[in-house]
Amino acid sequence: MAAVKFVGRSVELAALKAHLDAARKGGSRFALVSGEAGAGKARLVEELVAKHAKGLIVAKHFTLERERRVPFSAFADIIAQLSRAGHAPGDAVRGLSGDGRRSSESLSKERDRLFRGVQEFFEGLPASIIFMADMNNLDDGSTAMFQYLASNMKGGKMLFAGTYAPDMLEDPTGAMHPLAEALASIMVEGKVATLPLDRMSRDDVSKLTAARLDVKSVPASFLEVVWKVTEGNPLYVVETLDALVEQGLDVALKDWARKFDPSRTPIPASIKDAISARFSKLDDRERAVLRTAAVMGAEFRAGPLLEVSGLPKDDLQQVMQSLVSHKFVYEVTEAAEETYRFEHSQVRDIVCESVGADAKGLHGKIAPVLERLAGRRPFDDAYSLAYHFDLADIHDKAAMYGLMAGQKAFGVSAASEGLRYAEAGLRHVKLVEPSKNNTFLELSLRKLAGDLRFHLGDWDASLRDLDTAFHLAEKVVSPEMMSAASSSMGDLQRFRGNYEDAERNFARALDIAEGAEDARGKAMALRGLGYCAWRTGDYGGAERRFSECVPVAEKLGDMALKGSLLLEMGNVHTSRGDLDEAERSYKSSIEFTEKAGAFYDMARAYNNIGDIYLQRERWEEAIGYFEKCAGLADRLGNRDMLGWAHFNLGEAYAKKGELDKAEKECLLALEILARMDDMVGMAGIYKNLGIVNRFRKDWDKSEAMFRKSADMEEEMKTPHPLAETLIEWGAMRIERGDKGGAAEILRKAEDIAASIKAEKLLERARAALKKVG
Amino acid sequence: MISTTSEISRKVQNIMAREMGHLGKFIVQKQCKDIGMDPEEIDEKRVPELARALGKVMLTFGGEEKARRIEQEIRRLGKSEPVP
Repeated sequence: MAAVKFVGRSVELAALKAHLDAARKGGSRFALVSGEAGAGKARLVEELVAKHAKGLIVAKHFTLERERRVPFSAFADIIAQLSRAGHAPGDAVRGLSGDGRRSSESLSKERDRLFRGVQEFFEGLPASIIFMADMNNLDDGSTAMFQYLASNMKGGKMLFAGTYAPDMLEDPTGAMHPLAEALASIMVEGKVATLPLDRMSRDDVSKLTAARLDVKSVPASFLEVVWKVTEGNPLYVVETLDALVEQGLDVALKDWARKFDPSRTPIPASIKDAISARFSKLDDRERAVLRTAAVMGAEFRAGPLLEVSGLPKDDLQQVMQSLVSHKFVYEVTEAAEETYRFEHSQVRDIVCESVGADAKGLHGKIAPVLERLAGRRPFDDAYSLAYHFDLADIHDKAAMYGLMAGQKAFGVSAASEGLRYAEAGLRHVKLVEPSKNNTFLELSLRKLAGDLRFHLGDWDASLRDLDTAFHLAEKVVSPEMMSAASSSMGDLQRFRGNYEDAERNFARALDIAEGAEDARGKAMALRGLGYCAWRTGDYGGAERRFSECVPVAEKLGDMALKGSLLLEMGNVHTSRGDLDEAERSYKSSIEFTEKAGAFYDMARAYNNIGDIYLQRERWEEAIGYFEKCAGLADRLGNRDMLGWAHFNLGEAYAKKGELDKAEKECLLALEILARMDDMVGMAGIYKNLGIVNRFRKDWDKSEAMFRKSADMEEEMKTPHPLAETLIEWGAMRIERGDKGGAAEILRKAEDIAASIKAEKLLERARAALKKVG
Repeated sequence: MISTTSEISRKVQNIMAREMGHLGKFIVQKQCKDIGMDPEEIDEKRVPELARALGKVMLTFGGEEKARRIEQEIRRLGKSEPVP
């Protein structure tokens, strides 16, 4: 921002400095400055940087309103700046800006890894200040990342200084603004300090006025006028003074303040009036360029502006110089190409308002220019293209770039932003001429929206979108898309525990894929069918499906898929009680997953081998494998897997008799998995806590934990883990001396184990039942 | 949109705003969301549940004594007792 002398705010500056000093000693800090528009929030942080950041790494990001549509834009920019300064991030962070590729991991796992990668990157930096202005404009991904970092960062020497305007977090629909929700959570954890910035005192307004007008002192009569109008809002003070100067206030004159007549020189009644007054003083050409720039965004490049404005280069340069000197915009000197930014979001808002109904036409001019400049790499600029074509109502392009931007957002695990693009695309695709290509476009948008809604947990809407996508694919005769949509529906129903419907969809997907010789579609359908069979206790069916899928994976040359299938087959053997065969499968799976770099499945295999040793009651070996899994999960930054490893370690330590260690592991696991809403994992932890308390002979606590675990497993319809919990619960009841209660629980476990043909479990249930006669 | 904030909602939000400034309202909204309650239409019967949740929040900011005081102050709203 153009230099405005820093005045007052000594208390707030000292508070920020204290946070910086603490961060430099180790232990990153998060401090947010809040206040109304124009309160000087950014200026305060800039002053901290100017005075106290010598020798520190500093990265700044001014969040723009339009960025709410661009996933991870704020953090991508910060990391790019740090990277340019020689602090390159690791692999986990590189995909932040989106290359359109998605790994086979679930969205939450990918996001978890990304967040962990960013955390490690920041923790590894030398002392630094990360400044993020106007966080109320953050996209959802950046907001979630901020929340994650504030909650989880313990190490590092970073001060994260952010600013936001509380009134911008009010949503007229009553919905909670994502930043408000994040703040409400983090504040509860006590992880973020807030510094409210009030209006300035009269004395400070006097100092600011003197500095802005470049005079030694401000006469009381003039100060009274400024104070009365601005009520101490610094931006309003500056804008009012600039407007008065534009209207002829001349401080070079002797007795200038006495000559100033407020009845003849209109004083702007609001910030808006002050800015509007200055805007009206520009010539027609300057106003037209500023309007175009405002529609382009709060930050804009000179290249596209030159083309859209139609002015000769020299003329535009002249106009830009004038706009800079009139303090409407300033040049972003750190940008790679000539770029400008509006002095304040309020300035841009007011210029935008003056555009009115012409905005659509301007977007219509800007969009094709950006498209041409993007050339063969439209994917890089997909968010901007989708935005401008959408507001220009150029339907075919808006639909096409909506799809591209949605896929790009999906690629960086930003599901909510991706869905907004997909929905915009769908709005436009309905308005284009019907054709086979446009139907294909609609079907692609529907499939994308369905997949995104699935990840966002809006399962009913997801199912509707996927079903529509399926029928559209049928209409344009696209078997690949029909099979993909059907498998996606199967996955959704599988997650819901609705295995019958899931199986029906996977079977349909398989039929179609086989008919079309679509190997990938066939593999996805077979894997889904195998999973459903395993979960419902049809181990023979599961084994058959997974075995059928292996040659398909080989044909595709997909080692990761083959490794994953061997892992699933291992699970089937474990459930059947054939532990030797299971161990062989898991070990083969490790060979393939390691080669393919599919470390998530590799960590799963370590975990599952640990589980086998747990069943063999070889605690040390079990602990060894669980620790291998935890180590790999930690390196991957996969919190879910890390949580599972810790909860299994909890069980192993409990069985070994090291109860304090066991409880510690369980509570650590619970903290991780509860955050991820992993119900299956949480149910397992409650079971382990039941075991720990059983060994401590704290019967009531043990009872409560087993009951909680069993209730969750019953609700999720997961028979194998439920039977396991019931066997452990029954054992506790026997020790407690409640043989009647134990028999009831164990008989239920026996029935479940028999129904799913889980031989080992059945053996264990019957052995326990013998003890109660 | 016309505001339909109920009397209890308004009072709870004011108590939290008094303690937490503008963040008070967000914290009420978040706690309501977490326990499945409409922050603009707080159910009188569920005030104790909300009071407990907000009391826990206040533990972080003002310590036990303050947390207990705020929890009690909110609890009393459910019983329509005057707030001292």
